[in-house]
Amino acid sequence: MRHNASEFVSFVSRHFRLVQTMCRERVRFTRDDEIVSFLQRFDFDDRGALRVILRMRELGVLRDRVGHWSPPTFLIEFLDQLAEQHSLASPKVIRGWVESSRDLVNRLLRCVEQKEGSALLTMAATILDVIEEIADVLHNVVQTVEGNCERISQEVNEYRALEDKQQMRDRLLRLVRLQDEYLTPVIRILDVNEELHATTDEISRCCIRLELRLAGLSGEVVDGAARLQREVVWLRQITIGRAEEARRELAPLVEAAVRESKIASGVHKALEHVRQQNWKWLNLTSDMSINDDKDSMLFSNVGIEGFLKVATESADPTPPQLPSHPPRTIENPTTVSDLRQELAGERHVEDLLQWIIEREPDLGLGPAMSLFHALVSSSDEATASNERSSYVRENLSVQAQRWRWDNPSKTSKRKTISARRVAK
Amino acid sequence: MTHSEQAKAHYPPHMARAFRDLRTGRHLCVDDGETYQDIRRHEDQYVAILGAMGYRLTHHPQNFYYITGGNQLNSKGVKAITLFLLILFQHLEDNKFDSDDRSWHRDLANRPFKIAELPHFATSATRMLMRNLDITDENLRDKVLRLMSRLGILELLPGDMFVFRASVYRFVDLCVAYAERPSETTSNEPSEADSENSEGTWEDLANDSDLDDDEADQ
Repeated sequence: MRHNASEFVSFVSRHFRLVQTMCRERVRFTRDDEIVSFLQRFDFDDRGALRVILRMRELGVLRDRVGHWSPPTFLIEFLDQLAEQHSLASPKVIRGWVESSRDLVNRLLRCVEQKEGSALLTMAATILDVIEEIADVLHNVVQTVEGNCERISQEVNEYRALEDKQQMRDRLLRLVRLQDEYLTPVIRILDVNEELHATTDEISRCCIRLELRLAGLSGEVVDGAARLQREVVWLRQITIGRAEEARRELAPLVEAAVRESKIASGVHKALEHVRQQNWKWLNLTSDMSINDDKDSMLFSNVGIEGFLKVATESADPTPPQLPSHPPRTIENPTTVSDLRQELAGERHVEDLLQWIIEREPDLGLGPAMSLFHALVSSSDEATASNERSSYVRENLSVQAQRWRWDNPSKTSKRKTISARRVAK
Repeated sequence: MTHSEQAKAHYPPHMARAFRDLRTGRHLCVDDGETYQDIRRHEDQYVAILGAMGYRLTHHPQNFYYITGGNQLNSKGVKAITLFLLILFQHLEDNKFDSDDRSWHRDLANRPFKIAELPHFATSATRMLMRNLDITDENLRDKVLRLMSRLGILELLPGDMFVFRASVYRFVDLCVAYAERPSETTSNEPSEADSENSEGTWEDLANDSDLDDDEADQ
């Protein structure tokens, strides 16, 4: 059914409050009595309500969706934007106020920079006008910011009071848009590093100079300048404080909404890939690496000691190793007979023990003493003297009686030869 | 003091316990008491010591620690946990306007969940996704929840309930990353066929769990 655009707009214009409320509340009527009940809020009687309902359906102000009647989407969006434009001043408006206040400050500066005090006095009326204009602009800035923040707070409260999920979603999107398009730019304009702050600083300086230069000359201008300077301070406190307050109300909702929207988008994408068995897209090996080093791979002291004990006892003993150097020849030890045999060739030995020690350099003092004792015990040839000597071998030293050895065969043989000579 | 005693005196006092927990995949947060506090107080030392052993210690902005760099949990386990959380997050998002906060992710680690009221088997679509990983409502607790408890992602409570620990936000970050990833991007991971051998079995996962029923039900 073709709708008459002119009649459509006329109807909306005539019943603006009704249509605006239906769009703002995102109404969905499932039965006619719901629509009648809604219209009664706008003082329609039953007959009038039925007539309006019929007309709304004819013109397309209410459209038949699946299972309910509701305003068309284009009308909802149009009225939303209209409401924003007329209830919220855009940041451009505030920036415009700031620029006009800058122009006024420049005019004031030109006045203040008059070198002659008398010239300054003649411009008192102009200066007062400029001061008044600056004050008006500052007030406009304050009211605009306050108005915006008030509207945002109202939107937040309305959102919190909603019960319908679809309305909540729509209103949440609107709040996100409000923060991005209105609140954040306004806070930026009010920032200490931005233009408004610089402009108000300049106003303040001008006012101080005016007060100093015209003190005692023009009470009216001085009072005006002092009042303007106070308003500048108030302006900053009020606007910045109000804007921050609105941000504190709105930011948590918006941040949560934006983040959850992102999370939901990621979840949706991931589940789509999981449904298609495309786990590769999720890249879990890199993006969700979870350590899993098994604890049982560690040795405990008790365990390892037990193992080593068993391993050691079970091992075959190693065979003895042959020395790398061949063994040297074992020499027969010196006996008493050897000594006696050697002494048989000696006629006389003055110090028998010393003779043994010198003859056996490899023999220790103890073994040498043993041989000596064995020799003197079994030989008549050995006789003790009255002298004592000290015998040293390595780190041992012995004091002993000196024994002599006299070989009787050698001695008697000489005697025999001598006896023969005598006999001849 | 001997040389070894002097050396030991300079190590963080709870290092042995922290090391044992971290290398088995546990994510440590403030609920882990002195072990977590020890890492927080001696973070630089832990980073250096673990780094020398080939591990990388990560301090997440939600204030929990975990390491990477050693042997990884088998892919079946990671998939199970990820799928479990994806389905849960979707359910929470769809129903967030039922709560007063109208938000779910900020208090994710504070609210208790009833196992019987989980959405994973409420629809045929979600049942099928879970069944593809051999997870049913009968074995969900053993195969998924106990594993997540061991890893410090959630804590099982009496009365068939659980509560998430801070480490669940690691998976929230993963979802945010997925939102920013183009749908058609392919990863460097091996294909499904290649990864079958490395998936591990549910028996492996069951043996991994060191929770007794008694301990879990306390």
